[in-house]
Amino acid sequence: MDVNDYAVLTLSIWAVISFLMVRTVEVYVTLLLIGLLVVMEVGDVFINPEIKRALKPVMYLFLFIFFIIVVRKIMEVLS
Amino acid sequence: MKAKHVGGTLLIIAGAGLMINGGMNGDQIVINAGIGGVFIGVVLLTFASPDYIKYDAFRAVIKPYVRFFWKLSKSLELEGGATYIPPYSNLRKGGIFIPLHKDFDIDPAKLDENTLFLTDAGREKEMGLLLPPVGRDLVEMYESYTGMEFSGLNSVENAGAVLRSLGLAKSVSVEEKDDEIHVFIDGLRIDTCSEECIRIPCPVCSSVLLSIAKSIDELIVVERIEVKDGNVEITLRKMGGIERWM
Repeated sequence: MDVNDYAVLTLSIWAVISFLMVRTVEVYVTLLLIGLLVVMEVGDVFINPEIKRALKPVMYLFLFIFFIIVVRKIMEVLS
Repeated sequence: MKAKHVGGTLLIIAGAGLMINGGMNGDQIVINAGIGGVFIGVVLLTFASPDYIKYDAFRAVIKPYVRFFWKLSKSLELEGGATYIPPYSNLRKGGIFIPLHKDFDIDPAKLDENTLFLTDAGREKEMGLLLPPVGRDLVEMYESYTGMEFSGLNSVENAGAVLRSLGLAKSVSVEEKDDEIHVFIDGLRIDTCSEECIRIPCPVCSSVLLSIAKSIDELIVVERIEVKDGNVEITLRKMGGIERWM
């Protein structure tokens, strides 16, 4: 197994464990974002730059969803 | 098409289906399962993209070239250790000079990218073989993986992480003592490295030594190389910057 395989395995296990632990979409998406960010940061110099570039749109998409979740929660609190 | 590609695509399709189904029925668990499927599928596809050649094939391709260079160094009776030259105006990507004699001088003004055999030097001490920077592409990979140009000896240890990621070695550590530098390359996977690296470097050792020359911006000469069970210890001596030799 190389570094890429470990990264895929870690993210897959994280996605499955998170799925088993949470019920709501908001929390699940946030956990997936956290997992992705941690793997990108920890594996920084080990991960091929092309892969990092390819994963960035996924990261931005999750961040955008997270932003929407935060805005919705703020709106809920304010109302 | 690799199994990872097929698996990734199937997961994305199944995940998308579950997400739609869960959305229509208002079931958050099914939506989560769909998101998870798409997420793992995308990760699988992204990490499956680079293609690698098999180790045996790589070894068979690289070994004859390394042997050729060893033979060249023997037939030319080069005595001096390989001297790594950092990039400067004449050699924009640096170079490796193998002097004819152990006691040698370098005149960087006489070196350029078109020189191979330096024989028209005034003194025999300046004669030698100038090789292009073997392992330069690996240095570029180190810099692209880490996202920075190496400066300072500590940054060279990042090369170890990249070599590990590429499956070429486990780690690289560097120690500096006065004008001596000790480099430890552990868990080298290819067996192209031997004591011959003192003159003709193998690509992996060469890439690390080029990184060092570049990061400290000084010429360095290989004094000693010890190879044991895939672990390499290289002793280098700093020779000062290019200006000193001009």
